[in-house]
Parts: sequence; C-alpha cells; structure tokens
Amino acid sequence: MLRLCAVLVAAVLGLSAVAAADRGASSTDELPPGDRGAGVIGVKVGALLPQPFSPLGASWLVVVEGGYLLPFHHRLIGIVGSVGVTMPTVSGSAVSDPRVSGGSFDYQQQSQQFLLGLTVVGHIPLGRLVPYVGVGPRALVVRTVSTGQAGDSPFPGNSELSVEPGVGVPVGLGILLGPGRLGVELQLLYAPTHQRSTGPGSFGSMAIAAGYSFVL
Amino acid sequence: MAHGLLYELLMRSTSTRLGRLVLSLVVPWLLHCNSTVSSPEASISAVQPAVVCGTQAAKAVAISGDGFAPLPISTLADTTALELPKIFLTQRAQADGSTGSAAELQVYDGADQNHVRWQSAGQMSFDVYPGMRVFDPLTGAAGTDLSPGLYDVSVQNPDGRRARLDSALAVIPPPMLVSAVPNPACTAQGDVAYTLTGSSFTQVGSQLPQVSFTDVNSQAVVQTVTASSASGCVSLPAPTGLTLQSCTTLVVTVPKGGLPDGATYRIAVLNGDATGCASQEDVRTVVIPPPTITSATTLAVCSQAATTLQITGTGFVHVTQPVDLTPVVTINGMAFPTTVSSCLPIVDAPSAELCTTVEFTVPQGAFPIGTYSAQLQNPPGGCSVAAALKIDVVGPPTLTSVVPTSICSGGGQLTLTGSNIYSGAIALISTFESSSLQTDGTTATAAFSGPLTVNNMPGQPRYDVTLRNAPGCEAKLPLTEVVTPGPSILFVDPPAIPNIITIQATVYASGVSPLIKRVRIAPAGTQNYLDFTVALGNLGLDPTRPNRALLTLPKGLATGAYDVVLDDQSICSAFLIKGLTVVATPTLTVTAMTPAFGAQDQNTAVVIDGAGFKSTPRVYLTPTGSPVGSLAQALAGVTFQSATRLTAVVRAGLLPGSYDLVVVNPDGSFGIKTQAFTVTSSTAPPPVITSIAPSSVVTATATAVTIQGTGFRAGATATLTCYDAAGALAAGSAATVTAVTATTVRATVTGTGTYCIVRVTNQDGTYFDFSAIGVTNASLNLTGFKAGNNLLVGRRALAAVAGRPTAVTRFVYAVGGDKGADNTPLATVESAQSGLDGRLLAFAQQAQSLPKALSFLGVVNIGRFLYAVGGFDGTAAVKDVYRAELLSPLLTPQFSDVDFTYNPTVGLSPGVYTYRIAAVLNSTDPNNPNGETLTGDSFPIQVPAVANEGGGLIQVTLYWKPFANAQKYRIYRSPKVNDPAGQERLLAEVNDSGMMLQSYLDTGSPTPAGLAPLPIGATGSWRLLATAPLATARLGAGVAAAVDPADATQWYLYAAGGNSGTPSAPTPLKSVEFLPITISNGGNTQTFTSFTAATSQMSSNRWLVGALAATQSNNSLITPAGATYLYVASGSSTSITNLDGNIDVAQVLTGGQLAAFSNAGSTGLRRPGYGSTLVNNQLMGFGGFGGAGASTSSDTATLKSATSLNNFNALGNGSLTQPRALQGTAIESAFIYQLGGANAGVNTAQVSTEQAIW
Repeated sequence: MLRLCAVLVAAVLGLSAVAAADRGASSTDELPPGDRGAGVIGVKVGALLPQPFSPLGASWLVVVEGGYLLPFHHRLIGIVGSVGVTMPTVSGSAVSDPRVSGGSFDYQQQSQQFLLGLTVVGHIPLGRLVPYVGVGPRALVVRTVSTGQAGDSPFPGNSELSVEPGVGVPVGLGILLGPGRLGVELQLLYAPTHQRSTGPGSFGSMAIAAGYSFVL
Repeated sequence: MAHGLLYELLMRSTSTRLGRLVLSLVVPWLLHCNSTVSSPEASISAVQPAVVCGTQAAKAVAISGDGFAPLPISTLADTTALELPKIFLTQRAQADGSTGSAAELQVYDGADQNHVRWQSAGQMSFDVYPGMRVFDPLTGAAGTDLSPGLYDVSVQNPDGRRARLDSALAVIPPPMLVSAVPNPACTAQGDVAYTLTGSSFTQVGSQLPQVSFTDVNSQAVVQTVTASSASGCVSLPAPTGLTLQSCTTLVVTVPKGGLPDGATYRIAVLNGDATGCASQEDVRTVVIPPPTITSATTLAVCSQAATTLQITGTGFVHVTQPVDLTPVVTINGMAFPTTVSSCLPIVDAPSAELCTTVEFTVPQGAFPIGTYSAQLQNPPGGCSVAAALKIDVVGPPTLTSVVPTSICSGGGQLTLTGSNIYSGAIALISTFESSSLQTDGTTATAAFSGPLTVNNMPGQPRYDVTLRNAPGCEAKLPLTEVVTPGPSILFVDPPAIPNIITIQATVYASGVSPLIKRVRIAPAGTQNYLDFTVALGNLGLDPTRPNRALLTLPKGLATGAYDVVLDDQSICSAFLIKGLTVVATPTLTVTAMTPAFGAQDQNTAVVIDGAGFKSTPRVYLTPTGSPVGSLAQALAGVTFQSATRLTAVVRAGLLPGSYDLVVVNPDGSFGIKTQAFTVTSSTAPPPVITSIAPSSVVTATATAVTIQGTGFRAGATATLTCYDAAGALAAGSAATVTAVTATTVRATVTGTGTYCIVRVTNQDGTYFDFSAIGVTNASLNLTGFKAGNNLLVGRRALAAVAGRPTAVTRFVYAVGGDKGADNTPLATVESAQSGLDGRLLAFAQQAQSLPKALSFLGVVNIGRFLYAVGGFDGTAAVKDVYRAELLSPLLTPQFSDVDFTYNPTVGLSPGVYTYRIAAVLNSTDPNNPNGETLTGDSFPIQVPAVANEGGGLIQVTLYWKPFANAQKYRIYRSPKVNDPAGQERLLAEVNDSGMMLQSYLDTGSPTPAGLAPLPIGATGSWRLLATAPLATARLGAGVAAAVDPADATQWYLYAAGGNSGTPSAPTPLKSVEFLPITISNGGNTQTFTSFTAATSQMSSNRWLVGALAATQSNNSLITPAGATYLYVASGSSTSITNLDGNIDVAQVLTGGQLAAFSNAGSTGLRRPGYGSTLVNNQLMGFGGFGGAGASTSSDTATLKSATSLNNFNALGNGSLTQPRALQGTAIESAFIYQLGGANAGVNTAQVSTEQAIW
C-alpha cells in the first residue's frame, strides 16, 4: 500500500509539470497536421454530494488539475492529474447509550478530504464542443475530526487520519474558448473507508464542478 | 507511535493554516496509509471509593481526572455507537502483600451491561462486579471474580495512550462470619455485647464494619450497629493514604431492647466504607425474653436440714457448650449453683436449651430463720427473673390432732391442730399431698383431691398424717387416717373457662357408682356450691360412659378457682380442689378467622390468627353476645401452627347466625373475637374463591378478571387490598363487578403495589378473601425473586408441586431429585407451608418417602392427591407412577373416653399428659395404603396422685371408636408428665380389634420416644399404581394434568416426551401418553384406568421439557372457556445442555386424546434445564444452563393466541437470586417458587429456594 501511494504521488506531480503550446485553435478541426499535443492546467469549483453513498452532507469542492492532451486523433486522449479539497460533515443527536450522562449523546464529525487523482480522459473532437469521459484512480487522504456531547458534557475532540484508495469517473463537456477550454463536469467518486470513526462505509460521492483549463 | 510524533512535530513547525491543512493530509499518507487516531492527553487524579468488594454485587467506582475522550464510531454505517475510553486494572500487590500476579483486566464496557460509564471529560466510573474477569471479552459473559489485592487503575483514550494512577484501588474479599456469642441472648434488661468470629472483617482507616440483625421470619432488618472493636487483625495492601486491616473478631453492642424478644435474627457483617459486601453465612442468634417463674415465688427452707428447692417457670437457659452453664440463684448476696431439667433444644441456638425447671440446694444453717430476697439470673450475664423471689427459712411445726380420721377416696378436708405451722406448709396422708392448706399458725385446714387409695379393709393399717413446713421440718401423727372407697374426679376439660360465654366442660371421673347424681362447683375454699343435675338441664350424662359428666357452665360465673364435687350412688363424694378456673379478662389477641363464613351444611376449614397461643388451645364458637340458652361449640381439628396461628375446622350443623370466636389456652388465658364467624343457611352458602384469571394484573391499569368459585350471588361486590414489596398497604386499588353467576364473578380491577388480596362480598355480608393476585408493571415483569428458607438437603432434578390439605392451608413439596450426580437419587420428600404473603415457612421432611429413590421425575397435584410420574432410579428410566394423598385433619380417629386403674408398682406419675391418636390404614386402602392418618384432637388427661402407705401409681385406659380401613392405631403421648402439649411422641401401636370400642392401657411404660404425630401438610403413603404404569419408561418427561372439556370430574394425567435411556446416554422421546382419572366422593376418591398412547406426537424427540396446561382460568387468551391446551416447551435434544427450542401445543379433547400438535411459532426457550410456568398469558422459563453453567436469567414469551407464542425476551425482574438449573418449580396462586437445582455445572445441587410474585 505504501508503494502504491508513492507511485500515485509521483505520477500526479510529474504530469502536472508537463505543458506544451497549443493555442489559437477555436475548433478541434483547426488543429494542424503534425499537432504535437498540448498541456493543460485548470481549476474547477463545485459541490460534493456524498448523500447517495453515506450520511455525509454536501460540501464545497475545489479541484486543481493539470495534464497533457495527446496529439493523435485531434487530441482524442488526455492524461490529467488532479488535487481536490472538500470538507463534508456528518452529525447525529440523541443516540441512545446508557453509559453516558443523560443516556444519549450527540456527535459531529467533519471529514477533511484531500482528493488526489490521475485520469485518462477521452475527448470527442466535435469541433468547438468537446464532450469527454474519463476514468482513473483516486487517493483520498481523510482526516475525521470528532466532537460531541452527552448531556451538558462535551467530548474532548478526537481525530483520525487515513488514506483510502478509490476511483473517479468524470463525464463532462468542454467548449474551446479563448486560450483554453471552459468546462462543466459530473464526476462519480468512490472510495471505501476503514476508519473506526466512520465504520465500514464509503466516501463515495457525486461531484459537480465547473471550471476553466488553459491549453498551453 | 513514531509516526504520530513526527506528524505532531511537522504540524507545530508549520505556521500557516493552509500549510497545516496540506501537511495534515499529505504527511500521514506518505508515512502510512492506515488510519491513525489522535486523542487528548488523559490524566487521573483520584479513584473513589478506593476500597471495594465486588464478589456479591456490582460496586461503582468513580475515576476523576481529565481528558477522557469518547469517540463516536461507525457514523457512516447503520450502527453509530460510542467508543468509551477503556479502563484497565493491573494488580500491583496480592492480598497477602506479595507482588501481584493476576493478568491485567480490561473492564468490559459493552452498552448491554453498562459496567463502564462516562460522565464528563473529567469523570468516569466503572463497576467492580461478580464475574467481571469475563469469560468472553466480546459478549461480556461472566467469568471469575476479581482477585483481592491492590490495583493500578488506567484509562486508555481511543488513540491507545493511557493515564494511570498507581495503587488506586484495593479489592477485598467479603467478610465471612462463623459464629456469634452469646446465643441465645436477652436484650430486655440491658445492652448485650456480641462477639463475632470469622474472617475478612475489614477495618478501613478507623471505620469498623457494621453488623445487621435481620428477623428471619419477617426478613426485616431490625438493628444495625457499628462494631465497637476488632481484634485478630493483619494489615492489607492499601491505597495511598489509607490503612486496611483484615480482622477475625468483632465486638458489637446491641442496646437494651434493641432486638425484640422471641425472635431469631440472622447476623450479617458489612465491611466498612461501603465496600459493598456482607457476610452470607447463616449465623443466627435467638433473643429470648427474661426468665419467668410460674411456681410459687415464696419458697420454704428448713433451718434444720439441707433443703433442695425446685422452681418451675419459663426461659431458664442451659448452655451446653463449650462450658456447661446454668442459671445462678443469689440469696442475700450468696450465689447457689443450680441444676436444670425439662429442657428443650432451641432451634437456631444449638449449644443451648431452654428449661422449665431449676433446682438448687440450700445447705443446713446457711441462713437463720427469717425471710430473704433472692434473684435468679440466666447465664452468661443473661436476664434475671423480674418477679420478687422470697426465701422463708422456717423451723419445724408441732402436730397435736387431726379431724376427721376418716376420708373418702374421692377426697375431702382435714383439720390439723398444732403450732408453728408455716403458711406454705403442706399436709400428707401417707405420701399423698394436700391440694391446698390454709392456716393461722396453730390450726390448718388441708383439702385433698382424690383418688386416695383405700385402706379400710380388715388388717390394713391406718395412714400417717404429716404436717410439713419444709422438707426436714415436719411433724407426724402416725397411724391416724382411714381412706374409704368412693368416686374420684380426675380432671375437668377445659380446666379454665371464660365467664363471658356459656360453655360446656367435661368432668372425667373414675370409680363412679352409676349414675352420677350431682356435680357441684364452689369458689375454692367455700361452700357456695352451684349444682348441676339432669333435672336442672345443666348436666349431661351418657349411660355408656359412666365416668363422664357434661356440665353446661353459665356465663357470668365469678372469676377464680373452683372446687369441684361429684356425688354418685355411693355414700362418698369426690373432690377436686381447684379443679376449674373461671377467667374474665381476655389476655390473648385473636385478630381474625379466615374464612369468616361457613355454610350450615358444610365443614369449613379455618385459619385463626392472633397472638399468645399455647399448644394446644381449645377453640369455641358461641352465638354473638352469648344470649340466654346459647351454648359454645368446640371446633374440631385444632392444630397449633405457631403462637400466632391456629388451624381448625368448623363442623357442619351450627345454626345460621353470627358467632364469636373464643380461644382458650391450656393455662386458662383466653381471647375473644366478636362476630368472627357467620354461619349461613345451606341454601345461601358464603362465597368461596378457588382461582382468579388472570392472576396477575398491570399496575394502575383497569383489567378485566374472572373470579372462579362457588356461592356467588347477584349483587356481589369485589374489593382489592394491595400491598407493596415491604408489606405496607398500597393505595389506589379498585374493583368493579360487571357480571355475577353462582360460580363466576367478572370484574374490572385496578391493582397497585406488588400483590393484592381479593375479596368478594355477597349482599348478605358474607365474603371470601383470596390470596392473591400479583401486580406487575406494563411489561408483565415479576416483582423480583426473594430468597426463602433452605431445603434440608441439596437436590437437583427434583419435582416441586403445591398442594392444599384444606382450603386455607397451602404447602409446597420438594419430591425426590438427586445430590448432584445421576447415581445418587433421593427418595425423601420435604415440604414447607406457604403463608398468605407467599413466604415459605421452614422445610420439614415428610414422614412418607417415595418407595424408590428417583430423580428427573414429574409431580402434579390433582385435588387431594399428588401424582409422581416416571423418573430415573440411578440406573435406568422407570415406568413407575405413584400417588400420595394430602391428609385431611377431618379424617382422623378421636378418643372417646378414659378410665384409671391403680397399680402398686407400675403406672404414671401424677400430673397432666396429652394423648393423640392416629390410624394406620390397611394395605388395601386406595388412598393411603399402610399409611398413617393425621391425629385427632389433643386429649389432655390429669392423672391423679395416689395415697397409699406403700406408694402406687395410676394406669390410664383410653377408648375410641374404630376408624374405617384401619389396621392399627398409633397412640402418641407427651414424654413426661406436665410437658406442654405439642411434644407428643409415639407411645404404642395397637392393632384394630374389630370391636365397636377400641382401647389401650397406658401402664406408664415405655416412655414415648418415637416419632411425632404427622403434622398438617403431611402426605399419606406413596402408592405405586401397579395397574397403571407408563407404557414407556421416561425420565425428564413433561408431566401435566388437564380436566376434560366436558366433564369436570374427569381428569387426565399426561406424560410428554422424556428420555427412555439415562441422563448420560439419552434416548429422547416425542411420544405422549395419558392416564384418565375420575374424581368422586367430594374429591376424596380418585379412580384411574391405565395409560393410553396419545395419537399425536411432539414435533421432535426431546426431554427435560416443561409440560404446561393452559386454560382460560390461568390464561385469559385461551378460548373457548373450558378448553385446555397442553404446551410442551423446549427441552434437551441429546445431552442435558443441548437445547432443542421447539415448543408444541395441542388441545385436550373429550376423552383425553390430544388434537394434533402444532408449532407454537416461537424461537423457544434459551437455556436447557429450565423451570417453567404458563400463567397470565406468559410462558416463563427460569434459569437453566447457560454458557458457564447454571444461570440466574429468566425469559418470557407472551401468548398471541391459544396456540401461538411470541418470541422469548428477558423476563423483567426475573433474575434468580442464585444460579439455578434442573430445579423444582411450583406455583401457588400468585406465587412462583424455585427449589434447589444445580447451582453451577450439571453435576451440582443446592439447598436454596426463592420465590416471586407474578
């Protein structure tokens, strides 16, 4: 597991550093013969919706990504690395437990998630519009901060940290605009969790984001 | 741990918030991909209490500190819970001071047991409890106790880091009490210092243990005192700042009057500082009242000779061990040792006895002539006699003349003349002492009661007449007196009568020349005679009993002693000086007669409650107010239960009306309860309640109940009197009748407390009180089991059953079983009486044992009989079926007459003897073959003294009418003269002579020393039903009885399932068979045919099953009325501990066959070897074998319908006080009893019992 984590980090960081010029094309049809491909770098902002997979609530999501569009077939294939941050929470109240003051307790947990990803993206070069679909591994670095109270007595805080491997499947639509592409994206994220705090559930979610990527 | 430290270091070195966030996400991933928990630093500042004992009950210990951080877990799963900081106990030192060696213990913290609790970040608590070194850390199944010693206490937060407080908790063993001295004790006159010996009496700091005294009858803690000193102490390892000492001896002082007299108290030691453990040993002390003197309190001592004085009374203590001690008499400051006699052992004080006679000798010349005060004090340092005791030291009298010089054998008076005649002197004709003597110092009038032995034949010398001031100081006129023949009065029964009623008394005489002409009574020493003759209508004579006369004594007689004179057809009269005492002031308390009503044409068994009863009183009913012409009638079958309770039978035949109840003790003390009993006409009998369904109701909730019985009439009302667990009245009960038939009252009742007495009252005021219905909470929980009296021997695999010898006397029987091993079956049977509050009195062994030692048998009660079915004889399963009759106090022989014979050498010493008679029935008797009946009424006889120069004694001839089916009779008599009634022992067996009048001559030899008469509650012999064996040998079968749905006189005895092999090599069965039984002759006859195979079978082969008959009378959901369903509950499929959870049910059909068994649809009972009941729409299982042996848990499943059950859940308040399996379970009205059974593994047995209200 440690080795896999290291390879993922190296791949994301390495590919993010690569960029190649590919400006001026307003349509994929305009790409010149002998196109050498181009690097991309962008940012997306959106919302994380974990509800289909867990009791976690919705949260904001910020993703920074970078990669390279391969030259063949009108830049049909791209490889993109990404780093995202989100902080969904889960809470409960009046959970019965005779061992604590008042016989029940309330709790709040904030799941501080750092999403690292590598995605192979397939672009459909329709001209100005470029729909795409991708798939790739994810590494979720999750720190769960637990608080709560029983009766009038607050719990001293505990936190738990773990890395959970997962998978991401983005589906989106890019519009060639200006020096890059304006895009909207729906991404399916899934990662199981083995934390004591969360129990045997998952950190799966649906992520909706929009952003702009510069094509270098 | 290293990763965590590195992480913390990086976080602290990063100044920006974003940087910290990135680090917090990335660094752990780089370091390790597994999860890591971080918690705050915890610390412990104190543990309180610092000394505990957790082997008897859970004891909470609080931990103070900081940073105790619970962690919510599984928040994304469906099982969100809280992970509490873990608590660890590490033994630092053992109890003897050596280094601790016990393994570290994590206190089980599952929420199901709630042994670890979190109050705040600075406060947690945990329990030290029995079995806390758990058997299974996942389930928390109880294991072994925490070893005594000194422990470190640690708290571990979810990140695994611990806070620890060294030497924080001392665990000490429970105190063990071995003995208590003095026993008996007397607290009435001063403080009493008890010395208690044992072990592990723990002194915490300066705090000594407390000692409690619990009344064994009421179970109330009467006194709790802190010990005043301890000795034999050694130091124990102790938490910092504390000292602990384990001691072997305590001294505790009970203040004067702190323990009421006449009771036995269980002593318990409770260690100091609320450690939570008390001694469990059954160490008792008996508290007795101060001694009293019933004989004369003025005693004469002869100045010219050593004088031995005898004092009779009560409560003279004789300590037999370790040093023999008797009371001490002190006269004028000089102490005299004594000897004691007429002693009886003291139950619960085995090293002492209570005596009624003390003798001591005053040497010649010890005191000059005069009067001295004296004191008698019990040992050691016991109470003294309160009454003033005087010693008169006297000189010898002179005697100059005696007139007349002739006296009748029946008695008379002599006038003696002389000087220095002492007021306490006696006169003697030969050796026959005067009954009374009055003197002015020079002339004395001495009265003699007959019979005196005649000496008027030619050649016989005259008797000497002696005047005796004190032994050794006497004067004699030799050859003075002639005794001529005539009648003698032997005694009057009863010897004391109250003057508030008109009452009949019987005069027993001998030597009568029939017929008796007249009987006279006069105040003692006077000639103011009141005549009784046939012509006056106040003298009854029976020509067939010439020696008896029945006097009708009018009410209003002046109080005091009366001389009795009898005149017959001879020239002599018979005298009995002070033969009758009339009393006026009731001194006994008579509180109640239950039931308070009876029909004119029915015998009515009653219970009489009060105080001060002495064995055995006469009991009378007299028309209320004793109007002119009314006559008190004696009750039959009077049985002395205790000083506060009698049972008796009101025989049929009294005229309808209200009656007062009069109880007269043998010593003449009496009590009266006005309007205690009402006799109704035979057409309007009083109500009788036989059962109530449901017999348990939910507290404060209106519940429809059906009251079954007889004698209910339109307009009847119902009331509830409810009591709480402490026995106090509980308010808020109510009852409203909705419908009435002759046999059924339907009512809506609201119960409170824990149980209620139900009263149904007819419009004529007659009522019946029924004990009892239970009161539960909404979950139908029990009220909690309470420990009862122990069995006499430990029993496992026994049968328990309840039975009623009369309508108001209830017993629980423990039948057979074994000693904890398959090859040690028991034949003995023991029983205990159940009070109205359900508490069992002491167990006693039945005279009749099973003919064969059996375990794993089943016993049921049908009317007047107990049936024992199948079982294991130590080798194999048996087909045997036995039955025994619950003996009736009404079916007994009675003495009808008595006569006396003089014998010069062999006979009885003068005084009172009590006789009883029982019959031993023929081997062909269907109910009690070769068995003994209860005894008839006690028959006291006053044996007169004999006046004869050469001495002589009296022999007694007793007469009675033959008893049906008797082969012989057993005559019981008090062992010694003047023994109180109730101590009779077997005197002789007399074969039935076939004559219309049977008799026995008591020559005074041998002295009775055999068995005592059978008590109420005794059974007849266990008859083998030779013509009705089981078709298949069965042990551990379910045995139940059910009535035919169409014929109330037809019953069926069922044997379901069982095991035809052995307990260790079982061959389980699923077949069922039944025995038809027909009841007739008012319930006294039960005939049977033979066992028939049931056409339907259980769903699986199993044994140790509970077979339970459900009817609407005990389970309201059973329909239709009159239907009976036979439930056969779970059992063992192979070995005892291998559970088969199936529960089958089938309806009982007309003729006894069963409809097809169906599955009751429940998950079944949880533990094999359980005890079971099916009442109040609940099938309850008690105990059984759990994971670690016998269990204290109980479960219940409620009926959904007549044929289906819900699943089983824990029975609220159903925890047994002792682990128990293979026990006997019995039910009597609202009370459930658990007797004996295994208390640990399969091969164990215990003596304990317990009871609960359902």
